[in-house]
Amino acid sequence: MDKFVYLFEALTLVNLTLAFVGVLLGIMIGALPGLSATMAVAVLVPFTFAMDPASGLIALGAIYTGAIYGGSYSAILVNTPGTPSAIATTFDGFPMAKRGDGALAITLATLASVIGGLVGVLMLMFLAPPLAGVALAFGPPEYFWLAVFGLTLISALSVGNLIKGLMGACLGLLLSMVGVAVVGADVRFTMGSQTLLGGINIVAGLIGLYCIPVLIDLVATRDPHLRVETEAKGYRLREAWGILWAEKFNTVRSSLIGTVVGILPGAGGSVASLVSYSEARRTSKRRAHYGTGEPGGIIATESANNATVGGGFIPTLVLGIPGTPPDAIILGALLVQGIRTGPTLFTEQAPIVYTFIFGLLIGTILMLPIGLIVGRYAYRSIIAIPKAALVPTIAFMTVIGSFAIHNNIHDVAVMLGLGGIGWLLNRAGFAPSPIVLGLVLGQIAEQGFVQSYLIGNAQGNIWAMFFGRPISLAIAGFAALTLFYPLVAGAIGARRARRSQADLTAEARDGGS
Amino acid sequence: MAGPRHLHDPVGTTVAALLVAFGAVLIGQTGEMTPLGSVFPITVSTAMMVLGALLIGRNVVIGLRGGRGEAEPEETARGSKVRRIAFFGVMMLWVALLPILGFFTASVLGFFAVMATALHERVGAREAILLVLAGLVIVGGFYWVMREVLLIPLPAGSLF
Amino acid sequence: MRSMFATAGALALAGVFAAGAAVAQDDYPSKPVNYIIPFAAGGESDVAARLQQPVFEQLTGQQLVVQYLEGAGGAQAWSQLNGMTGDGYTVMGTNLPHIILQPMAQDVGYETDGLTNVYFFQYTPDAIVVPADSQFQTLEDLVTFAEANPGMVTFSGSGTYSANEVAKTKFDDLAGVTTTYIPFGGTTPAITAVLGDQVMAGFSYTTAAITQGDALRVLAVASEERVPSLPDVPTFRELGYDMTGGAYRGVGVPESTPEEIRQSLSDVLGEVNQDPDYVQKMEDGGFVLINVPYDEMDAFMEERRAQYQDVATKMGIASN
Repeated sequence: MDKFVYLFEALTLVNLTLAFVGVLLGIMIGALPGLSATMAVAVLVPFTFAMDPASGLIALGAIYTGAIYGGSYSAILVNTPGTPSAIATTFDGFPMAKRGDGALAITLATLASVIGGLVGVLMLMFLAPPLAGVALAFGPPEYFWLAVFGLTLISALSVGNLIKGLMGACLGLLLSMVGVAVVGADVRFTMGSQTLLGGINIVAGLIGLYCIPVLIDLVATRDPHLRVETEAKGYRLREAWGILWAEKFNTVRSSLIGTVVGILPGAGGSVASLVSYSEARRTSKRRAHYGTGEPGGIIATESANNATVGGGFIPTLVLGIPGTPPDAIILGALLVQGIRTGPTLFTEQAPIVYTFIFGLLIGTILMLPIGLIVGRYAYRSIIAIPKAALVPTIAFMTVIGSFAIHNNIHDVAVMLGLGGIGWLLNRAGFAPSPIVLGLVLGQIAEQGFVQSYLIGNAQGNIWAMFFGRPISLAIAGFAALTLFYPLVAGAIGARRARRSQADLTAEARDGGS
Repeated sequence: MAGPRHLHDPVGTTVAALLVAFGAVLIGQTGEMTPLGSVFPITVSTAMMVLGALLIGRNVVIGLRGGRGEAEPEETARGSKVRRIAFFGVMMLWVALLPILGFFTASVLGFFAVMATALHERVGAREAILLVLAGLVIVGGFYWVMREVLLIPLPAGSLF
Repeated sequence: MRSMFATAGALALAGVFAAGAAVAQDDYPSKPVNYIIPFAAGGESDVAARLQQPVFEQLTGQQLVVQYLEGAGGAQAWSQLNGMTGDGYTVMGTNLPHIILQPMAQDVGYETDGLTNVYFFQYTPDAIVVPADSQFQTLEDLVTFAEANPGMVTFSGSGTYSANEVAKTKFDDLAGVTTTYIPFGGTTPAITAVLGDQVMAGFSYTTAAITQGDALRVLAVASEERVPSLPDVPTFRELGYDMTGGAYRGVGVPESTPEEIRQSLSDVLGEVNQDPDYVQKMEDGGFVLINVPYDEMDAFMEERRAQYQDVATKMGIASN
């Protein structure tokens, strides 16, 4: 393959150093809630102007992929996703850390992220032009159904009290509507406050709803934040490989879901990880354990969200349509370098594109050793730091993180307010995750719905818009399956049991006569 | 726990009632919106109200039957209420003081105030010095990184 | 209007020579300047800012730090502008028609006159785009179809009360047709919808049309003359629709910013707008450079406001 010529271009000392530093920086930025991949990339773009295009791109790609992975640390150790992509990592990551399996959880997240990242990059390298079509095949109705699919996960998350889970989701959806609507420009639910015109920021919501309740409960007791493991020490790498091998289908499926969802410009890492978590849970034999510290859950979300990195570059490079917000900034950086993205990029600018893709590949592989070491250090610090220092440090992070979203104190106030409400609701049995899901998916669902309605109305056939498109129907089908699978599976199981019972009696009768 | 004719899950029921009222308020606000802007808020608020009514009804029925009260989640029931409230109060003060005292000063004060709410044991002089030093290093270090490396404009106060 | 741009250009050019000394004198800027873009990354505002960034650094020796404060179609940022420190180190992108139409439509937390614009440096002419395999070969095809099927032609565009919706409203009026406008959350999703055949056509800008190359067909552009990088595309005027316009982008500062700094900033931005490499990249990208420095701002804003007043009435957001 002639592409491999560029592998050596990527393997220069400068590029390797950039990839190494990029991944390291990315992990640290991603691990701090509020400091997102988008921000990391935006800050570093000016530095890349001085580099040659491929090296600059490698640095940006490495930071991006490192940041998406770094988000898992805070999700696992502090129950606060460092980036929205890591929301679903909290579901099982934090319970694992609480019971003393934090090291295992981080090692699993590292391995899954590397594998997911590699799958995404390889798809980018070999299948980018054909796959880019996926970005165009998704119209408003598809995004609407995709968001509905994501919301069906609530039925799984709210074990114990489905009604409370659904009410939480409604509340989250209502929160997502605050501000000026994209369609129609109505000013909604701002309570007269101009600072809410832009809506409730998802990251501020995440930090508030997840992190503040954890802190409130931390100060109340003497107990250590995480239980310290006693027997197993070290990275638990062998054990992690074993689990990963047992979950190999889960890993591959989640990586593929991540890549495809990453291609969709309106979705991104949070949707990718929620969808693959939902699918992993539905198909797992250990379904009941999901949400209580099941390794499969971490594998699903972490492989999916790192696969979105490679996936997101597919429409960015092939169509000039950024797949995710960090891609949009990288696209801008490309323009400044004088590189035009689009269908001709892969042929005319092949040296830059393939050097970059190999650089991304190298960065992803470097993430394994760097991630294991940094992750171990992070875990140890969280355990070793006494509570009196840990609580104010995390509290400081919530302030910094929510401030850094827009360099704005309003987001800090929103974060804290939601945190307090979230804690009260949690006490009353309304878990934070359904609220967060509603907040994250609300915009996608509403815009998809209203746009579909407008287009359907113009064409005189609204029903065909929602129920007449194959991809929509397939996603709606999966949503229904997730919602009703426990019932269906139960019914099938019961019928099978009955039938075998009937067969037995028939056999007995036939044999008897 | 809850005997016959006691309300089942009183906290949850109260919150449900509040959310039903909240939904009604929100629907009231949709009057001025365009049809397209109000379809989602009305649908979701209605769904929330119906679900809330269902939850209240269910809890009342269980209560009348004398069903067992749902145990509160262990985590949120234990420990010191005072510390919880103190922590949240300190956080609110911290955020309120950010624009007045400036990011650095407010954060140093906030950091140590939060530390006080999380301190359960008596600490010796050595430990106390270590904690103070650690706090200053953490706040100072992040302040520097945010300001000088990430070039985030942090609110300046009357002191700095 | 054309002559006005020409004078503006000439004046700016003259200003540049005078400004060189002025910039050195009051040593502004002497530290990194935060440049807040009120939209998400990847849009036209961001791309233009990213192109300004290296030139600004070259000229002043100081970084121009691009930050994003997106939300509410830009209103989130503009409503906060006057609360920021007015020392010239916090500046913000401003967009027309947004800052005129938004306050006209409802209370968005700022007034058009409350914003201090110091320079308008470019605009992107409106353009109608269709997918490459569309049934519409020319604008005439589209108008004929729209006349036969009122409301059936769907136009995607970026947001409500945006330049795209203004253009769509104007076009409907001039062509005497009824079409349906579908707002999306930015120019990129709007163009994606066109590429994916989700809508029949899109109102966008020359910039988007150029990025997509052969995948899109541009039916007409709303510039005075044909755009250099799209030489085969007719203007609306050539086709008999008296329609020019687009989205104008400039830079504003908090109202507390001193006069001298406003002037210095305006001078620096004028200099950036003359950099040959920058001009080349902007024009290749489909931007049309304009030069409206600080001292001509009031006249420019007055003229634009008169233009939008009319269309705002048709959109139903202004009473007179």
